[in-house]
Amino acid sequence: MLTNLYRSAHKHFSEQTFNIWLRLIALTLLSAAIAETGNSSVAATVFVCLIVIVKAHWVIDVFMGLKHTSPLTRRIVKGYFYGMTLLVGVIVAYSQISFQGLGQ
Amino acid sequence: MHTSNPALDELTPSITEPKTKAAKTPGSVAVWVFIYAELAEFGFFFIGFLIAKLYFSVEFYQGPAQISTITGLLNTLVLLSSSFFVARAVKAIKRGDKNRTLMWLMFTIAAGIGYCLIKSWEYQLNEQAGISPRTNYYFASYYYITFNHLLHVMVGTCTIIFTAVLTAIGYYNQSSHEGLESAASYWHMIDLVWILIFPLIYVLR
Repeated sequence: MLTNLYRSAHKHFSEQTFNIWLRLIALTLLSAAIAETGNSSVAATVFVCLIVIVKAHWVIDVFMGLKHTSPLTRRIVKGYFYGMTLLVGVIVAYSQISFQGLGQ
Repeated sequence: MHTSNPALDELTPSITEPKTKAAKTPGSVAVWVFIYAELAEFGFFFIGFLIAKLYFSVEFYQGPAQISTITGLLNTLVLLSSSFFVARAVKAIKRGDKNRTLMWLMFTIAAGIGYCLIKSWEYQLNEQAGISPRTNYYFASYYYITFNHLLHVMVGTCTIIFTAVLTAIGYYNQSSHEGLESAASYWHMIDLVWILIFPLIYVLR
């Protein structure tokens, strides 16, 4: 009975979607920790943007199941998130640099 | 097929043999048009937020510290989990496991309701702190984006409830489940948009 329970648990925990879910949770906690430190450096912004890209990549490929589908849909959705995250990163970093330049 | 040119022989199989066919995009074409429209809508919101951030740097710098990171974090965890649940529901229906599909859909619905409750709590905390959409430009943008997202979560939850009912009555099965895949794709889109909203509003200063 214990062996069956172990096998069932092992099958469940080694499932790809479950693994990705755990990683997504870990990255989210990391982002929240950065928010709590109140760090407003460009390095923190770049790091948070990288986290967003990785999270979006996993959700699109694994949860949405677009990894092995038509490349057009996958490229549109990924392109949107990569482009939008880049835009957010550049504008937030620019805002941080100019804000620090004002002596704040 | 062999030619006298070995270099050409190497190329020939890739030309003559059919490539492995890509799997079908989950959901219907109509829902994907809708998803692209929704992404464009949120894209405009993000651009508007960023333009306002450039003009009102001080308000946007101080803003995130005044709202609850905990509620933002909880909502992110709930939405990521809901995306996991709905992905498992799609896998279960592909196996023809109706009971498991229903179970994962119920978890998704619970997560959707949980998100709405946490968001209400967050708005209540803001109200207690004297924060409203009229406080400043940061909070106007914050309420505009998060309330819009909340409406999408409500629509998504109703859609998942509808697909759960259809699954329960046997409308979706192992061979026919495009509607369920469409609802799941829409739900993932809601989650994806939040993945960008969370750092934009709660984390980055």
